[in-house]
This record gives sequence, C-alpha cells and structure tokens, in this order.
Amino acid sequence: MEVASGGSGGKPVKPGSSLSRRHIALYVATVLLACLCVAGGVLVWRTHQADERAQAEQERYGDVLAAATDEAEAFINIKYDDAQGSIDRVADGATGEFKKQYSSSTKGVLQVLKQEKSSMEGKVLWAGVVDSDQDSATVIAATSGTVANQQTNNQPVARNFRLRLDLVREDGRWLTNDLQFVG
Amino acid sequence: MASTPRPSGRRPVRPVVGSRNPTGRPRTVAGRSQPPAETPVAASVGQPSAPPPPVEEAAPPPEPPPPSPSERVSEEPPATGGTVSGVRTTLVLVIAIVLLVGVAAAEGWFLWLRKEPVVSADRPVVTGEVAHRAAVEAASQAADEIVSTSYKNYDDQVDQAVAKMTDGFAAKYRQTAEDVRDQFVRAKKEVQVEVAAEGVVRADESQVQALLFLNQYVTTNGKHTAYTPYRALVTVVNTDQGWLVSDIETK
Repeated sequence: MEVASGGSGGKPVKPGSSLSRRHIALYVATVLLACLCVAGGVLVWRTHQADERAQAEQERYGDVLAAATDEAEAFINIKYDDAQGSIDRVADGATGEFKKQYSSSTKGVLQVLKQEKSSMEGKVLWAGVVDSDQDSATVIAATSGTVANQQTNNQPVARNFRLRLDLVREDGRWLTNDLQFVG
Repeated sequence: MASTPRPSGRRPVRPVVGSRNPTGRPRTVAGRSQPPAETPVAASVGQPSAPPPPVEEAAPPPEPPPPSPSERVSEEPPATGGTVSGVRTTLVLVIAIVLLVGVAAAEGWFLWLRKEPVVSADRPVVTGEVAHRAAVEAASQAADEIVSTSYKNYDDQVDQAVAKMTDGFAAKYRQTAEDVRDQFVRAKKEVQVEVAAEGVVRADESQVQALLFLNQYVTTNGKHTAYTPYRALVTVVNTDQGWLVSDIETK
C-alpha cells in the first residue's frame, strides 16, 4: 500500500484527504444552505403575496371610510347661499338610485333652502365599516353639527345624525348609492 | 578507483514536491521485484535482507527519453496546479456559503423582523376580517351588558359588567355605578339597550374601536319614560381573557 508521510499517530494518510474532506464538508454546507434559501424564498414569496393582499384589503377600508365620510359631510353641509354648490358636492359622490332621487328633488330642495334661509353644518365624528368586499361596502357614520333656519330664528341648533351609507366601486371610485338615517 | 562512484547509467530521480511519490523511491514495476539494496522501504517493513531468489527478469521497459526542458516545466505545474485548484475550489465554496448565509439572513429578516402595518388614516384596519369582526361583536355584547341594568339586581349587574372590562376601566365604572346607585334604585329605574348598527372604526391585533348605534329605553317605576338614540365608540383590547372594554365614549 502506498502511503504518504505527514499523518499523525503513525496512521497512514491518503494524499489530499484533508482537502477532500474539507471540500466535502463545504459542498454539504453549500447544498444545505441552498436548500434552506430555496425554502425561505418560497416562504418569502408566499408571505409577500399575502402581505400584498392584506395591504389591498386594509387600504380598501381606508378608501371606503374616506369616501363615506366625504359624502356624509357633503350631505350635512348645505347652505342656502351656496345651494347649487352644496347639492353638486353631494351628487359628485353619489350614484345609482341615490343620485337619481337626490337629483330629482334638487329643484324643490333649492327652493326650500332659499325660502327658509337654511344652513346646516357638521362633520363626521366617527365612521365604521359594517361590511365590505371588493366592489361594495356598508358604512355607518355618526355626525355632529348644527342647523339654522327661520324656524330656529337663524340660531344654530344641534343636529346629530346616525347615517348608514351603501357604497359601490365604480371606475376606481367609491360612490354612495344609498343613504339612510338610522332611527 | 574502486571507491569512485560509478555512474549507474540512470539519472537520479529528483523528488517532486506534491507528487504521489515524494520520497523519490523507485516505483514498483509490475512483474519486477526491486533490488533489495536500493529499497529502504522494503527493509523497513521487515523484508529479509538476503537477496531474493533469482527471478527471471522481464526485459526492463525502455528507458523513457530524458524530458526536454519544456516537459520538465510542464511536469511541475500539475502538482502545484492541483493545490491551487483545491484552494480555488475552497474559496469558491466559502464565497458561495457566505452569499447563501446572507440570502438566508435577508429572508429571515423579511419573515420575522419586518415591520407590521400600523393603524393610519389610509389603513385604519390592519387585521383580518375574522379578527376585527370578533372584536366588534365582543364590543357590542359588552356594551349591551354594561349599559343595560335594573334596580332589581343592580349590584349583580355591576359585577357582571366589570367582568367585561379592563381593570382600569372597571375601577372608573365601579366608582360611577356607586355614585348613582342610590338614586337609580330609589327611582326603580331599568335601562334596556339594543344595538341598531355596529361597524369597525380602527383595528389592529391588540386594540379595536367599534362604532355602535345604540337605542336606549329607560323605564322608571314600571313606566316607560324615555327613548334615546345615541352613538358609542367602544374600545376593546385583546387580553388573555379575550376582548375587554377599555373605554366607552358616547355622543
């Protein structure tokens, strides 16, 4: 048997065996790490996909609440000296039956507003999503404000509302297709 | 002249560094035994020093021609080249391992240390639907139990109500309940509440705010006296005991 010098303890050492052993260990470590990285990559990809879906859903809540808040505030901020502008702002965020009904009553609303010198102001205190999917949502909104007209001797009187708005997504915008007072 | 070393006719073999035969021993040639005098290895392994029996020697292989200078140069690099190649392989593997460790660390960071989304105007709800629906439902039931009460079992209902609250909010509630207790019982009041609507305002894993539309009916001494619709923002926090009310704001 051919042997090489350099072995410890008098044992014969195969030439280059320590280098080979080191290479085998490095190869094994590389393969294991590569497997780990591939598994990790799959996990990262799946997590990223889930995060993106979650982010889209979470942003949908924000979009729905913002649209409902805008529409509710347009609805409770109507001034007789800017009646047409007030009504246009409501119509801008409306669609479907709600827009149709609101538009059809515009003439009468304008007349009453000017006759009564009515002004209603307010803001949304809180709004919450009742239900939501990709194309529709239901929101409730609590508003706080005042109304002043000839019946109140033009003095602002508190008017707090509980509103329920149904919204639909049209061309990337959330529009209100129904608005009800919650009794 | 006998002491003068006679040229053997063979060129001395120079040991080659890194070769498989570093000691320069004569290689064993198949079918030919080594001359004992020239084989210290054989002596060292206990072979008899007596000359071996005569063996019909095969014709020695033809002496290879002396290597040309260029061949000599080309003989050495393979030995050194093998070492260099081994070192290069080691280096490549180490670099690959370092890169893979970096990739694994980046993946680990993404999976476990990335920032969780926080509640904001753009993203008011950062939990799954199941989680925040459960929290809103808990807020609704808790509000019903907390607000609905009767002079008949006032203290028991207070105890039941505080079981749905955090310690801090429970302490405030107990104080208020104690302050109005006598008047409430003396007037024989009963308060019933129904939840007309409920929705999620903000939500994360630890805290959820729910908007409730409550319809409150108050009966005094057996007679219905008042109906009051109002709004409540109920905050619930996630605890080991489930969702507990930490605040109720009404308007």
